[in-house]
Amino acid sequence: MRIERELMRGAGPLAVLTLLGRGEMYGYELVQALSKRTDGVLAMGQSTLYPMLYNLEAKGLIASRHDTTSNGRARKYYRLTARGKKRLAHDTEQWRAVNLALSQLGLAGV
Amino acid sequence: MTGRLDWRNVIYKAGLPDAAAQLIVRVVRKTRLWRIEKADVAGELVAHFADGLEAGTPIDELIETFGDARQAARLIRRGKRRQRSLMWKASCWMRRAVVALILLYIGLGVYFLVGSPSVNTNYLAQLNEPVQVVPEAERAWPEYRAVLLELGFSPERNYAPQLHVVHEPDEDGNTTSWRSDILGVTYPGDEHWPIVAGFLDEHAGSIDRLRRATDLPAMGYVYSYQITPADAQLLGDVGTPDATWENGSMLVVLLPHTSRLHKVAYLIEADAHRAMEEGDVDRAIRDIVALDNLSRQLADGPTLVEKLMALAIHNRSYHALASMLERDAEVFSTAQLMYLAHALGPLDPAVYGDMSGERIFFQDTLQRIYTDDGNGDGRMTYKGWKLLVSGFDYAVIGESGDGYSPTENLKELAVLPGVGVVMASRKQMSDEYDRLMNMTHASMHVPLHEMPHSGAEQIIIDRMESFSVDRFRYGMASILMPAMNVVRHLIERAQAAREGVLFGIALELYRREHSRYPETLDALTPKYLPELPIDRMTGEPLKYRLIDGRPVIYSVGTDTDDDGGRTRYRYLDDPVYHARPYVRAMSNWTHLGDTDEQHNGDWVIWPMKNPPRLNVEAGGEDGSVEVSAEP
Repeated sequence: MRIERELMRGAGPLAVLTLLGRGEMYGYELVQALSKRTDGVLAMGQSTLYPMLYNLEAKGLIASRHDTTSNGRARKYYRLTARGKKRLAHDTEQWRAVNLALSQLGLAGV
Repeated sequence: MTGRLDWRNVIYKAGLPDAAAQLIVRVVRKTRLWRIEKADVAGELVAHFADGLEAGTPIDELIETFGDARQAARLIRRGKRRQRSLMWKASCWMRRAVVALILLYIGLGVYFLVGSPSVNTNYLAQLNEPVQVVPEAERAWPEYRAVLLELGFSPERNYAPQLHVVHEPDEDGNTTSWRSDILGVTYPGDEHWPIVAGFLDEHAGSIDRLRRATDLPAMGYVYSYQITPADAQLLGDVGTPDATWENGSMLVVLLPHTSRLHKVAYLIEADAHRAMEEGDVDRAIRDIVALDNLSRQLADGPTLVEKLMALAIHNRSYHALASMLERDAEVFSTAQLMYLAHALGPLDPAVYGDMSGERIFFQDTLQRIYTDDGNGDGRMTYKGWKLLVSGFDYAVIGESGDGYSPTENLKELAVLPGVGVVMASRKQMSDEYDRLMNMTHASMHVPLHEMPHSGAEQIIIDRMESFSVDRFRYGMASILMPAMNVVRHLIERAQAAREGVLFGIALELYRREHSRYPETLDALTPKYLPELPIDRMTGEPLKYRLIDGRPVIYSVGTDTDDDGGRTRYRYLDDPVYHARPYVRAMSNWTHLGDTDEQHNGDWVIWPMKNPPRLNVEAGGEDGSVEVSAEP
């Protein structure tokens, strides 16, 4: 199932921040993780992920570093900043509230 | 180019399948980012595909899940630009703002450029309305014109040839001989007076004709862009031949008759002195009254120049009479003195403050500068702006750029939007002009000692000396405001002079009846004076003393300090110099920088021609003197 763009606009960054909250990750790793852990619901291609990463970096919520893989390839890793952690906590709380509100409205399975 | 910046090399060196490499090239190229940013994006996308391939994902699937290349490039560009420095972002906004301002400026330029003034009111006809209702036979100007031609005046000569005399070099030979008009500056006893007297005797008929012309009810000068053939004989081929009310600003409507009428006044004044010399007091009185009439004919004109000229002639007539009374009052019979006291009527400030002609000039200027929206408002136009900057040199036909270089035209065009925005709209300009004019007009009725210190003149002076927006916004209204303070100054001066001669007459009548001068001024009313004028500096009664047996009536002057009826001014023969500092100071013309010392002394109302002088050298530092006589 594909999520509507407006819904994705709010959920996508939170999903990325959540994943990075568990440790630093590189781009492909994030794409894979989003796809597998959400059963493809929050899957996003490179055309969505990388601009999102650049935006989060511009806002100071995540930071990046360059490194090389064991076979010598360059790779860019992203991690949460202190500000990113605060934002993650804040947004998580808000989503929980939304979740709760929707469940109180009787949305089954929420 | 270094490898770090060569983003294509980053992609091709990775050894990705061709389809993936082409996709990344396409995306990165479309981002239109800086080279270093492109290299960074290229490296990241390459790593993504390499990671995918390494994880066993087929290349087709990786390409398919990549998403739309164009949208990816757009979003990547946006995200990367957000990462740029604050300085870059600020300069970016600055550039946008500059571009927006330039576009706005150009837009405004077009807005003002396409506007065109609507000249749809014939203000010249309005100016001439009062003149046209006067029958030809009742107009004085044609008579004055005919007599001046008779006396040898011409377009080239604003003087009678017989009175344009050669002055010999001085005894030391420091000067060469020179010629000048002696009329108006030569009095009985002067070196050249016999020439003037001879001229007057020879042309007694012409002078009588002038005198009779002053009895006519109106001046009757028709305002026009062109000089009529009849006027051209005297005034020359001046004016603007092709101008009409539709294409010619009224600011080029000439008033050449005023300078000729000044000469008429000089002739009549000289004749008054000649009559006294011959013992013909009746003729001298007729001349003085003729001067008064001539002033009133001029004062009915609606323009500032005519008002100023009228007041100057009034002043000359009062001073001429004063000099006769001071020289030998005995030659006047009591009946003659009483006649004079009644003949010299009051000066109505409303007449001299009526600047209806100046308002018409202003409205005419507005219609040549602004558009007309039909509701009294409008915006600045290119043609109007050129009219303003040219100082109205091109206010008549052919002004559409003749005499302007392309560079000058371009400069004016370039500043037009700024001017159009800063300068007041037609209605605002008109309202401001009316406000200032109404303020000034209202102040004409306020006694000098109650004059507000923030009148219209002060507003204009403050505005023109400041760098406020209003200086430019209402600059046109400020510049085209008639010099009402000068009018006020001349009215005060002329009124004081009139009061002086009326006091002189009243004192003489009292002396004849009582064989002495009165103890107080109150003794003069109501028999010899209907009412006593007040000290225009304080609003208090005028001071009165007998000094060396002579009665002296005076105002305490601008320092409001009683100096015993003595004036400090040296050039007592110059009534302008005599009164100017007082009136100007009371009008709060502080910018003139009058010193305290200049304010010292009294304003002597009577005697006018030879008042007691303040002996500054004999007195203390403040110039005070001992008063030698008490009333």
